[in-house]
Order: sequence, then C-alpha cells, then structure tokens
Amino acid sequence: MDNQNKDLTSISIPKSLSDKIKGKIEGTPFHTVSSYITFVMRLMILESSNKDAITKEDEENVKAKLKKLGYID
Amino acid sequence: MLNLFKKNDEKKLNVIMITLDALRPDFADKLPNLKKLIPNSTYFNNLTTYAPHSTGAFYAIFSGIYGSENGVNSYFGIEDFKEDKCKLLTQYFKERNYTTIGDSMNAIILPQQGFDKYLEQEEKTDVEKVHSEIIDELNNLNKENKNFFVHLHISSIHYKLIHNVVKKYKFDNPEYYNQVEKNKQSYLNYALEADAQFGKILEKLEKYNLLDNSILVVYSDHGSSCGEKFGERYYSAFCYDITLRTFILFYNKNIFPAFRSDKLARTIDIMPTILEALNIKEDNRFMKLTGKSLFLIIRNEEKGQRIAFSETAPLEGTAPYSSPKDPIIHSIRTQDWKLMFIKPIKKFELYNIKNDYNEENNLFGKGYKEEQDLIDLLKNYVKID
Repeated sequence: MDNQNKDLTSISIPKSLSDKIKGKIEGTPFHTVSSYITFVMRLMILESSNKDAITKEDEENVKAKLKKLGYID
Repeated sequence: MLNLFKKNDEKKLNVIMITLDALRPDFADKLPNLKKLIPNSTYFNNLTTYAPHSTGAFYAIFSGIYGSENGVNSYFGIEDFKEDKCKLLTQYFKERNYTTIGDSMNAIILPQQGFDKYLEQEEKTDVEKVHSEIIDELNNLNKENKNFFVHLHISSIHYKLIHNVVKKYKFDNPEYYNQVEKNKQSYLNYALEADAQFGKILEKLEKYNLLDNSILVVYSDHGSSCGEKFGERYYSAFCYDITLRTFILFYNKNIFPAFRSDKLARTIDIMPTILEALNIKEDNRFMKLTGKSLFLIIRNEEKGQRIAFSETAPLEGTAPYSSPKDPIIHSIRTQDWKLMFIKPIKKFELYNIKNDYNEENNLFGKGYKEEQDLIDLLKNYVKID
C-alpha cells in the first residue's frame, strides 16, 4: 500500500485478497488496490451513517408502537 | 398430489392467512376449532420461527428469508428492511391483480408493502367485528369474481400475556417460574379464547363458501413460555423451543392432502409452499428465497434434513440479557439437536431434542460429536469469537 504521503497509513490484508482485487479492478478507474479499498470503505461508512440516522429518526415511532403492544412502559 | 390443473398454469385461488399470535403447537390439539380442521389438512407441527417475536417472525414469513438477510432482525429492524431486494408474498399477489387486505395487530408487525388496505388494530379494537366486516368484503369480491389475498390477525393470546404476565411479573420474579402448571392453565384459557375467534372466522368463511376456491393458511408466528425457563416470561428473551416452535396448517382439498408431519421445517418455508401450491414461480430479480417448499416433505422427496436458524434481540428490562437492535441470542436446530449461543456471556447450550423435548439437560462440553457440527453450522449465520 502506498504510504509515502504522511496522511496515509498502512493496513495489512491477505495477499490472496489483494490479488483478487487486482484482478477485479483491471479496466476500471481504480489504478491501485488501495484506491479501490478506500472507495469501498468510504461507501460502507456512509451507508452505515445513513442507517444510524434513519434509525434515530424512527426510533421513537417504533418505541411508541412497542408501548401500544405492551412490551415497554 | 391431488392436482386438477395443468402443471405450469398459475392457479387463481384466493389466499386466506390467519395468524393465531403466540400459539404453541403443543396446545393446538387442545383447541376444538383448530382440532376439527387438522385431520383434513396438511399440518406441520414442528416449524421453527426465525425470531421469537412478531416483527422478525412476520418479515421472515412474508419474505421467505431470514431476518439476518432481509434486514429485519429485531423490532427496530423494520427500518432496515431490504425492500428493494426482497419481494414479499403480498406483492406476488398484488401484481397478479388480487385485492390485498391486511389486518395486523400493529403496524410494526406485519409488513405493509403490497397491501391495498392495511388495518392496524388498537388494543380496544373489536377484532371480531373487524374480521367479520373483512369477510363480508371478501364475499363481495368473490361475487364479482375478483381474487383476494387476506391476512387476519388473532391477537388475544398476546394481550392476555401482556396483562396477566408482563404487567404483573418482572422477568426475574421467581414467583412466576414456580407456578408453571398454573401458568399453563391460564395460557390454555387464552388459547381457547383465540380458538373461539378462529371458529367464528371459519364459520363465516364456510357460510359464504369462501373456502371452496381458496387456500386457507393457519399458523402461529412464534410460541410462548409458560415460565418453564427462568428469564423467559412470554417470548423473545431466549431461543428455547417453547418460544421458537410453531405450526402451519394448509387447507384446500384439491391441493393439500390430509397429511401430518413432525419433521423439522421453518416458517421461512411457508412462502415458497404457497407459491408452489399456486404454481407461481419465484421472481429471480430479487434475493433468492432461503425457505424451501414443504411439498418436498409432503411428496416424500426431501433429501437430508432442514436446518433452522433463529435469533432474538430482547428489549431492555424484559430479559436477563438485552440488546433491542441487534440479536444476541442465536440458535441452530436440526431434527434431533439444538445449539443455543448466548452472546453476552459467550455461553453455549446443547440439547438432544429427541430425548429431551423440554431442553432441560444441557449437554454442551460433554463430548457429543454433534456439538462441533452445530457450532460450524451456526457460524454460517453468526460470528462466534
């Protein structure tokens, strides 16, 4: 992984996985395994954040329904 | 198979689904109306639910997919339902121009997608009146030669448990667990009340001859504890069979033979069975169903045994271990064996169900070869450190 830039850090992944990703990104805009993994991880974190936001918004609604059902006070 | 139709033609029969919420199969045989129907039906009394609580259970039943995959693995999981990837049973009928009517105990229980009309019960709702009016509506649709898909929810056991157990005893009150026989008698009374409601529905469906061109599907979403297991007052605290085990009954004399089975099956198998009964093909544009049609068992074509995965996310203050949004109690079940994993304390329990129906003798760590097999199976669904 390219860590010449001081804002970057190294993370180890299995070589077999790295080889698979190399094959997968051929012909795509991703020139390195690092750039592909960075993209995927950012996407996952974004999805995870959205999920949390939705859950918080609707949590009270679910709690109100659970109260109606008698499960919680 | 009794089949009056050409193999590949879809059958335009109505579908009437009736849920007897929280009814245990070991009490079903004691209920006069249900008992009357069983001998002329296809009846499985060893069905395992994905979740011992209604929300996870219903989404698994209506999607044919475990909540660990469809996104609804807790009460709060409804916000995470993968509706773009999962096609619900109701939606199969909606797109075939059926009129779809859903009666539900609560909007977080039964998935709303695909229903033309969705009725949410309040505790004070006169459920019998609502059901009677829905059946009148079905009769009108039938007279106009319009097909319908309907779900009716009998919720009386749930509300009796809430008032007489949940509101009266904390989950760790030993008094409740020291009076199991008394609790069972009370539970039987609740079940008889639910069965009486079921009887009235059945009577009216018969009066209008609506069963003649319908598939009737009667089942429970999950079971219920009568205090047999400490910490489990009603359901959702653990993954013992008293709360996981349920039943399914299919009635249509041209499609479902008189057949009774105690082979292990799963509630996720209900949807593929209904689709096969009507020759409806699975829509491959969506996530593949994890359930398998029960016709394989009915026709004696099943190879191997089914494996049932279950999990629960207990609400705070309702169980010894709680985690309202993420399941923390998991289990894997085969015909004869059961492994439960209690994640917060990293404890396994292993039971030989064949010899120990009530799961009283924990065999984990006692050298049974099934132990590692079941751990490996469970690892297919859950990360075990």
